[in-house]
Amino acid sequence: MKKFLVLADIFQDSIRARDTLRHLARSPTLFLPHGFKTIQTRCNRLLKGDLEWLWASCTKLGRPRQSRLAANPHTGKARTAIQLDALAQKLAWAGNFSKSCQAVRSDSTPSLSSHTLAKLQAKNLQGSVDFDKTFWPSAVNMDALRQEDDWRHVAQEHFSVDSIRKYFACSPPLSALDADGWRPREHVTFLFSEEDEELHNLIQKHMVMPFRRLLPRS
Amino acid sequence: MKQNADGAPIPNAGGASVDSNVRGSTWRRCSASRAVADSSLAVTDYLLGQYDNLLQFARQKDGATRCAQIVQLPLANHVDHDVSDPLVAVQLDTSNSFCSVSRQPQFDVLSGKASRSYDDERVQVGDELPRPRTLDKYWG
Repeated sequence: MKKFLVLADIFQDSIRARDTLRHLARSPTLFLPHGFKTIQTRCNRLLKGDLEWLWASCTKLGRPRQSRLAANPHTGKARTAIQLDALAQKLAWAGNFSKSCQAVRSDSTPSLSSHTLAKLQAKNLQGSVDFDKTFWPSAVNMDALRQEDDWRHVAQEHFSVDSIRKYFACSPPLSALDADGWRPREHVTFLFSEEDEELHNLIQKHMVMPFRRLLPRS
Repeated sequence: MKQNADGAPIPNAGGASVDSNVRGSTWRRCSASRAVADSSLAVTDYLLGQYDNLLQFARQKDGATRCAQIVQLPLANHVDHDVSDPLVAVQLDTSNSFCSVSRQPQFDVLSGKASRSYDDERVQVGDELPRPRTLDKYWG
């Protein structure tokens, strides 16, 4: 990840290569679920540009899982008492007492039928993203506002490396994977455990800050 | 309010409409959480100062219990209330408000101007909408 971010740092904001490198750094599913050696091999292959090998390698690992799922598909059956006990203990030992308690106390069964997806879609309708931007502030207006004094401290105070570290360190353990494949506590916190200030600053600059523009455009 | 970091397109194999606003990302959540940490106090001050009948229980210790206790207070004397002008407590829980069908009203509040009519035409297109200025900085 650090190599991607160091490379991304070379390019200016408007350069496509910077965005591409940032996206590669945000793609943990190629590396994270595997052992250290596999991660290292894949990183080396990626740096050499051997994307076809990387893709084939990843999909190869996924095929046995697909076969297992096809032979033994997930059902909406509730967990047995032994399974619940094991799950609750695992969550409790990891420190997620809230989820552990919920696992023991909840008597609702998972909804997993052929109609589940349709019901969810009906419940959470997809609104249009064709927004009316007539009254949205212009980029020039925003730059002027961002130069005001009370906005200048926001990046240092709330988006500092320390506050980002605290956010990930306080995330609940064994939470569900995010859609991008990252688990904040398990996958990200350790990135801040070593005293690698350069990596921390790169993470802040290229992984978190791109979602918020707090400074005027250069 | 960038739809997606760097304005990158969302893979769209099926050709259907994909809303990039709802794309989950650990890094995005981190950024959003820090933005909330920055703005929540100012927004709270704004809401409490703007509306004298508003109490906020979110982001405080055991807010749900305090809310329940406060709501029970008017209920204790409910028999004495005037039926034509009853005392009403409205609980607003906006924890999942971003999942709304239409996000246009949220952007209208952020921009401070109505892009369509609201409240049975009492708010017309172009009318000013009250908003805390602290949220301005999160436009993209």
